[in-house]
Amino acid sequence: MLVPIKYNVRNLLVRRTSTLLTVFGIGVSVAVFVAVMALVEGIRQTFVATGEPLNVLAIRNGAQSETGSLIEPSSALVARAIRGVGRGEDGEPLVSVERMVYVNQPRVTSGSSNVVMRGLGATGRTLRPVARLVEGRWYVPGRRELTVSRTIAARFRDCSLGDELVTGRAHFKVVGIFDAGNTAFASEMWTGAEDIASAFERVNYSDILARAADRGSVRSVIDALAEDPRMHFDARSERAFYSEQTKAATPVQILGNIIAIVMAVGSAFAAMNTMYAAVASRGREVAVLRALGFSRAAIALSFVTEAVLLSIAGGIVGGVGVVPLNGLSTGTTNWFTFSEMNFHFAVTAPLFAQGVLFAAIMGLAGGILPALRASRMSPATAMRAL
Amino acid sequence: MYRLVLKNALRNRRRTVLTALSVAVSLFLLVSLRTLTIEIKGDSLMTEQSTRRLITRSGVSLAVPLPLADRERLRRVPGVDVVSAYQWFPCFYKQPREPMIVIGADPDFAGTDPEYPTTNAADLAAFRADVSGVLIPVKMMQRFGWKVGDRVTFTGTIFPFNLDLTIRGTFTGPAQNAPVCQYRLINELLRRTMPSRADRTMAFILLTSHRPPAAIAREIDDTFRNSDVPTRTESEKDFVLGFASMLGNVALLITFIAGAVVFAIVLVATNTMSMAVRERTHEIAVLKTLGFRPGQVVAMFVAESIVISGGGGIAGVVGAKLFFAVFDIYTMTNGMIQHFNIQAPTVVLALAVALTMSIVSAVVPAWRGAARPIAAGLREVA
Repeated sequence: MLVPIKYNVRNLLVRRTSTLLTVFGIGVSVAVFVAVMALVEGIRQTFVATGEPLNVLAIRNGAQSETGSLIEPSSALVARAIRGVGRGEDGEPLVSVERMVYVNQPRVTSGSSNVVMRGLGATGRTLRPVARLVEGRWYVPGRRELTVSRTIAARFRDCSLGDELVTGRAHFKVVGIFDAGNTAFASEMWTGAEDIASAFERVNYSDILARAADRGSVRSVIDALAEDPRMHFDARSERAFYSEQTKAATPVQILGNIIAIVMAVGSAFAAMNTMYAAVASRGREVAVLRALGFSRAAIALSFVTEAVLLSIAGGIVGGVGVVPLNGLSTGTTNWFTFSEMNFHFAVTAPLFAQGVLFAAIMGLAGGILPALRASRMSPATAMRAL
Repeated sequence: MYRLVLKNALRNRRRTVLTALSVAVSLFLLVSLRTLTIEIKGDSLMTEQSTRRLITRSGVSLAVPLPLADRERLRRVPGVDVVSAYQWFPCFYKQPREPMIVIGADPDFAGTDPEYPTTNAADLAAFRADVSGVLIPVKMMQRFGWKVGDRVTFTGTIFPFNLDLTIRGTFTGPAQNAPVCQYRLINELLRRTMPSRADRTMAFILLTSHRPPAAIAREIDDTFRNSDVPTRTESEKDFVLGFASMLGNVALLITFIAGAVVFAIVLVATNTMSMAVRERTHEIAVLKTLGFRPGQVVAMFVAESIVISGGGGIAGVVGAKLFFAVFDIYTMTNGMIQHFNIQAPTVVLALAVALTMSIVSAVVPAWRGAARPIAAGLREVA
């Protein structure tokens, strides 16, 4: 026969101060865990949401990112004539050969960071329907104009509608603001490919984006780009390329895991403390339970349950405490592209569940030893104790 | 009185140990996080000399290279002793997942700077004489088990070629970060594979000694204001700080986490002290009967808390010191974090936190216990 859970719940309620302190202690650990994971999840969501299923992206073989890819102009020309590529309404092949630079720009707050300036080919915008104009107009190629993502406009100086962005000898006029949802393009400023070439004396291209005519030809476009011996391309579907960029979150994830584990150890000690105190002050109750016929195992299980209940409460408190972070947007440097990446904290239901599970494990770790102690008490001595 | 405090602290040994351990773990974390925020700002590279080394790069960003011809104009700026090309070669050694950088510089740059001391003059001469020679930081030599004379290949990740280099010597010093090879070699390979990028360098590095570096930097940027590529010149220190500011809110985030850690320990310690007070309701009443004032009783509990949490705090700080002395962070993070010096101010901060929280956590429960009327306390059955 098992000891009713109600007994545990009431015990926790009776020892209010101690319970609350422990719950909050565990809650803080869980909050840190969930917050860091929400950050990682936000970065992941951004990259996973980027890319169109039919698009194929090629960068130089060995490059880690688009900004770190240098493609000779001659190779880029070859790429325009690939079979299997779709055609736009005007009959032109849907291929955008692009140049990317990053521009060191002061933040609105303090400090500065590298912001990606992407010079698109004529069809570049058609290939990225996710970007919608929300204010002003699109840049006109050749006029040194920029259309800037809403997040960048809000976070960086001289990037708002009507501003003039001066970098080096180049002057760019911000003529519009676009919204690219929660994708990697939300961290970019767009202009024409030739504007980048003339403004920064940069003849090399960075990437080639092509739209396959249909699902069946995606593979052949990838192969055509990757296998041409004249070029050294690493071609992948655009979605696969950006999903792989999720690795940018790895350092944060590792750091977060280490912190969470260390904090969990500390919290488990605290839970153990609380449970030992609970066991010690309830010697007589335990004895009465034994006298009523509850087995040693039932008593051990009861105390473990109590510890787990206590920590689950902590997990819920911690998880709920982090919910306000959800959707909060922030930015840091992506060390693979060497430029600013913006993302939102994403506190998702699975993360919340993970946090509670994490707490339950802490409770289990902290509860087992005190529970065993309780189950080993001899009823006779326990009864005699004051 | 002191003996009573100590005796009390040791009365419930298990609880004392658990609390102290909990505090120790938290302070270990606090010290590590604080050091991390200091180190990601490149603090260990910040030496007096790093304010005298200037880096001149394009005003746009590092993505836009400077023409090599600028070197002559830079040499003519008064106060500039040595000018060298400064080109990063992003690459990896065998493991694509462990990116690193090789620095290409002019041969007379390495060994000139007092902060890049080479092991010996013969090695330095050998490096300067060999266009495909490389100087390797001592730590990296140890990590990969290399010897002077070994041939190593770094696979390029931005440029379409690899560097096949012969190790000619080693160097130590605070700038323990990257191997140094000859810029000439990188440029030669660029001419062959990517002529449009050849004869340009990511930046120049300048050694100055007798003029204020800020004045030199201003003069350089004024000189190039109306050239094709306007420059931005700053000390190596500010250059590194610039990278730290690119991290944006990460440092703030870590600080938040550290705050949460502190808050968590206060809760744990308060719980312990309130348990101790509750257990001794009876004793408190007896002490008061004997003539102890409530203030004295509170002081006793505070002292006990300081013994427990202070002990835990010292254990945590010493533990962190030992941990990072035994385990090399450079090897653990595959060279991503180069240094991890736990500095004196961090230690002081951590101990101050331990002290403050041990006092804070004891005062409230102790005061509630001590303020109780004697009769009520005596009547209470533990």
